[in-house]
Amino acid sequence: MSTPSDQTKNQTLEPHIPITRTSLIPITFLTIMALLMMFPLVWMLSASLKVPATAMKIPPELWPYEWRFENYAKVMTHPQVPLLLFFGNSLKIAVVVTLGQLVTTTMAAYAFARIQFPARNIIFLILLSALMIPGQITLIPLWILMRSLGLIDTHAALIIPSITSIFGVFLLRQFFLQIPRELSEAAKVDGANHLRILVQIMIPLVAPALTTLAIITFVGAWNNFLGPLIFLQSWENFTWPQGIVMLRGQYGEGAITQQMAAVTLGVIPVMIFFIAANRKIIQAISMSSGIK
Amino acid sequence: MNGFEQSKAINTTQSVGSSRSLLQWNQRRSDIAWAYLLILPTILGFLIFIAGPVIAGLGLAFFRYDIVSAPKFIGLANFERLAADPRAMVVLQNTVYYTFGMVIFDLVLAMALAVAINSKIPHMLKRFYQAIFFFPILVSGAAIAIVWQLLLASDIGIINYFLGQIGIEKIPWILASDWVKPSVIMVTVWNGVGFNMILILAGLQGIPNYLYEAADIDGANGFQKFSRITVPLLSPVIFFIIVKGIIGVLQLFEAPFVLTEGGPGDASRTVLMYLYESFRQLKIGYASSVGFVLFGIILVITIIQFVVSRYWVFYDND
Repeated sequence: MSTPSDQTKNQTLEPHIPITRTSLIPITFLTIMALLMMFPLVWMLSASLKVPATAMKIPPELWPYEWRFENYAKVMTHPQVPLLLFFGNSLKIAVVVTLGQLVTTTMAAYAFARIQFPARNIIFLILLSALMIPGQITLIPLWILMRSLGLIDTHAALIIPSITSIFGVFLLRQFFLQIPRELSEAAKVDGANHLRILVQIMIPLVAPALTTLAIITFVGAWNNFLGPLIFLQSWENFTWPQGIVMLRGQYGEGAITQQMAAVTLGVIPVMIFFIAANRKIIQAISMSSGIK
Repeated sequence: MNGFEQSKAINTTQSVGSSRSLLQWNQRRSDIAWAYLLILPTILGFLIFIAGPVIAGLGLAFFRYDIVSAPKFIGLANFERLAADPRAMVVLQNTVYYTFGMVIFDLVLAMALAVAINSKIPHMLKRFYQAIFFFPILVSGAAIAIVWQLLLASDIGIINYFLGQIGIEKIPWILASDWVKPSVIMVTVWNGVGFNMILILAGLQGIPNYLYEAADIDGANGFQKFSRITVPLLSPVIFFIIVKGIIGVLQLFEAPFVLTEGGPGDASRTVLMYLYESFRQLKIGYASSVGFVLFGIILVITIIQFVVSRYWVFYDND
């Protein structure tokens, strides 16, 4: 969403577009669609706060009559499903993967964008082709590989294959390509080697892109469901999506409100990142499509 | 900037001494060394976790492997079994259904949203709507499917309640085989349409206004402007979305898994779910043959798409 400073900044560049009669058509359409899109999330939030018995009442009450925040406390301390542990597992995996990707993709993107070396373009094209491979082909062999390494049922099995990211390299390379050559030339003349150029000059310049990549990577790792399903066995290693599905098997009073509370908790980190950086993320994706 | 001025000075100097070219040669070797070092992790990752597994996965299709004993080469037996398996047929039909349903629905919806946002509405609204439609992308597919499962419940689900208010009978969204696939499509498109919308928006913003103005002068109506200007100029993006969409259909897993577990029967089962099931039963070789066939199908379809694209995708520089 736009912040006040965003608004004033853009008002000087873009002419204000008033709402006219013809624009009411798209606006009505968009408003209806927006309501439909937000509806599941709103319902999730409202259900998570309801008195358990009224969660699925017919006719439904959209605005919870009483707010029961203790649904959240109850689900976090659920006797059979250790949600806190699951969230912790997810957090650990997501953080390590994100940091790892930031390091490896920055290095590779810089090299592809800024250094001339033999077979550069061919190597890059081959890497790009990997983006088109549907993940299902690699899942089973990866599992066999992890098994032979004794890494099944460890978080390492989820982390290590994700330390590098070709998409990330692709994305960052676009940004690196836009930095004027003179900057690195000047540094080279001053005697800097590539590492110094990278760290001291390039990284600060692509910082917004790094933030965006970090968020996209974190969210992907945070939400990952199939990976943990395949590589993890003991429930104490499970991630939060698995935990939520486990919760579904629990019955009894408050089951639904607690499930909704748990899902809301899983969505909150994503929401925070989104509010903080949604324009940058959207921009990064538009850029990476680089269709022309 | 001191370094900047220095580099300009050096570049304009006339010296072509052998000492300078030796310096350049060493610089270049150091450059190359650096480059390979910097791309090493990514290359290793690619070889070990992508290229290797793909090749191994394709090879495993020709073996019988169940973890407990060593892999046994059985030639085409897995494929013969696959071809004769009625469930595999159902899964294949589902995949065709999903492909047409999901790709087209997603594309049309994304296009409608993008065009609406791109029209003459206040900038603040543009950003607001963009954010709203984009947010669901970041939401976990598995987690939101649990929410959807409650929304789509036949008797107590709120969606059927609202339908009842406008006189429509309760729909067994996730219970009847006729409805499970549309439900899966609906949930998955909810999750993903924002992404394609952003891509199309970026494409729309690249279309210069003078084209529309010229069309206005020639008396074109809205539909003509859309089909003669917008769509052709968007064709690269549309092509990308279709290719990506088809590949995405083969990775469809979370929504059907959580919503219906593939049921009723196999009505909503996807390829990846079928592969996962074989994997869980430790029929590794068989699962790999499923993957193999799918990889082949995707490869063929993608190649066909690229070939056919010459006839309808319009790039700027042609």
